[in-house]
Amino acid sequence: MIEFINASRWYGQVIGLNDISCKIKPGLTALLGQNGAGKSTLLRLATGQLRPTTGQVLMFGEAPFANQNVLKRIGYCPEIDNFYENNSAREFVQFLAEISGLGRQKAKERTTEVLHSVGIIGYEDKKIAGYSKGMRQRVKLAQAMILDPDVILLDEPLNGLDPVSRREYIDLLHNLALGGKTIVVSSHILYEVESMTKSIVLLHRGRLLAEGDLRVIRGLIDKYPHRVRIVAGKPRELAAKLVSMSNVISVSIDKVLSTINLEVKEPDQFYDLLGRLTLEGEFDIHGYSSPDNNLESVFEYLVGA
Amino acid sequence: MDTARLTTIWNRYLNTWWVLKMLFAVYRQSLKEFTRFMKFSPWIILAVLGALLAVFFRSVSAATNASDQFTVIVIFYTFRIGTLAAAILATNILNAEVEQKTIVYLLTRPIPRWTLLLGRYLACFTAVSIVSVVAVISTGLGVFGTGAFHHHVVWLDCLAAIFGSLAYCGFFLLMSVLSNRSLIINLLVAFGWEITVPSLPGTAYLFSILTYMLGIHLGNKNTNLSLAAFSNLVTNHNFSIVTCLAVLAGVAAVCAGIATVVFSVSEFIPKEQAA
Repeated sequence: MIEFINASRWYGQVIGLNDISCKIKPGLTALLGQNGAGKSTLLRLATGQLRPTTGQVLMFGEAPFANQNVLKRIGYCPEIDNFYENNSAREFVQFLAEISGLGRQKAKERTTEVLHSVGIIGYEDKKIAGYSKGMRQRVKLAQAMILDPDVILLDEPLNGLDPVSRREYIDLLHNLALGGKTIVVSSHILYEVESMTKSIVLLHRGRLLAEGDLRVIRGLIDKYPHRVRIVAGKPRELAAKLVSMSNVISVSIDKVLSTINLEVKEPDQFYDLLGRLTLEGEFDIHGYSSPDNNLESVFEYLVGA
Repeated sequence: MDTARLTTIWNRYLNTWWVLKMLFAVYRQSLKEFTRFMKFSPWIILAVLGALLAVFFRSVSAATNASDQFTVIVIFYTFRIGTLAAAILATNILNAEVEQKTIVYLLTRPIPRWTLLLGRYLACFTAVSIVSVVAVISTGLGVFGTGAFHHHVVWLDCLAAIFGSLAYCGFFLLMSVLSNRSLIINLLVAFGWEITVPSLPGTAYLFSILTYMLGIHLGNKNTNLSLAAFSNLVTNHNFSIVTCLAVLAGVAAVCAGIATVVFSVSEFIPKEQAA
């Protein structure tokens, strides 16, 4: 459905995307990468705003640049937070519906339908200038959905959303994916992506670093020691218990802060056990975190690997 | 006629109708934007000021009759308002969308790109025409009083203002498509080129839009305007009205045509990435 064949894109002397080859199939796929990794460039190439400098980008087998046949079948939700601020959500979406080829009456009906489906009810006739971040994200999604496209590409759609809105937004995307659509969501936050999908495309400095099932990529990462920090009321007792476990490589205690710093193998198994220990309450575990559970460390592992 | 041929003709008709509907949608939205009260009212105020200027000029002018006074104000104020409005508004046909980054919503629609630009161009032309015509009528009312509408020259100047707006918007649109410093270029053209070139000796005046607007204003008639400063301006505009209208429409068509072609094949990269 979406295919990149050795696609590169240069901005003058700067490379935005470097020799990318991948295929994105129906379902929900996350495009993961730090800022400047090339996520937005990839989406701009897929939506026909840019042409690849070398290689090919194909959407439904055709080059998407200014291609009406392709643009009819895709919806794009850009990262920018800009609108025609003096318009209401209804006016904005209806205008885009009309220039997408829907007749005025049809555009009106479809606008009401999509605004309701993204949860903008009761505010659709107020000016966008007064909308919260969450509502603005929903308006962007609504305009992307207006033609009921086969592919929806969303550039950092969860930016600035509160946890409740984020959950609702992710549910909405899941429902669209379950309806057979291809949804591509870009993000630079790993945990955000993990809660959304297992299918990822990982970009780093314009290059494709990994593609496929997140669990497989995680498996690659898990070969390396994983750092965990635990805050507990009884750190010494907990450390004694942990050190006897086979997947714990090293343990150090910070008595002042009541924290234990660990290096572990097979983190999934370790977290299962830690969860059980927390529930049992014997060691008064207040919380735990891992400095390795962020995208940066994933990159460090993968680039180093 | 066989069925296949009929079907082809019918599909072509449907496609044309579909494109026209989209063009109209772009035009309507853009016109709303160009004529938004806060943006548009200063232009209307400037246009109406022509009446006050005319009343003032009548009391201090060396020109002997109302017709000459009207010509002087039209050359030095009224037509300039239209030029300035065109320079600024036509620059915004594309730049406003690019700078606000809202162009991304337009470029990802299944619409021929030329309709996006043409719709916005026509909306800009409508807005500039309104300003220019209001300026002409205000000046006419200021010079001739309520009898302005009985003066042939006022109607001719309305025509000149409309065709001039068409040509100016087309030219300034082309500049904005070709250059990302178009506002500076357009203002230089409006205040530099268009002020000096029409009164230059030789044939340089042929390359000014104002030349043909003045050609319509003078209506191929000799004028008794005696101010020395106008000697070149007046002798340089010995064209028929039809020629002037054709040239202005031609300039508009060529400029808008090139602009739409360039726009159709161009990429619009956000500034931060282009840098």
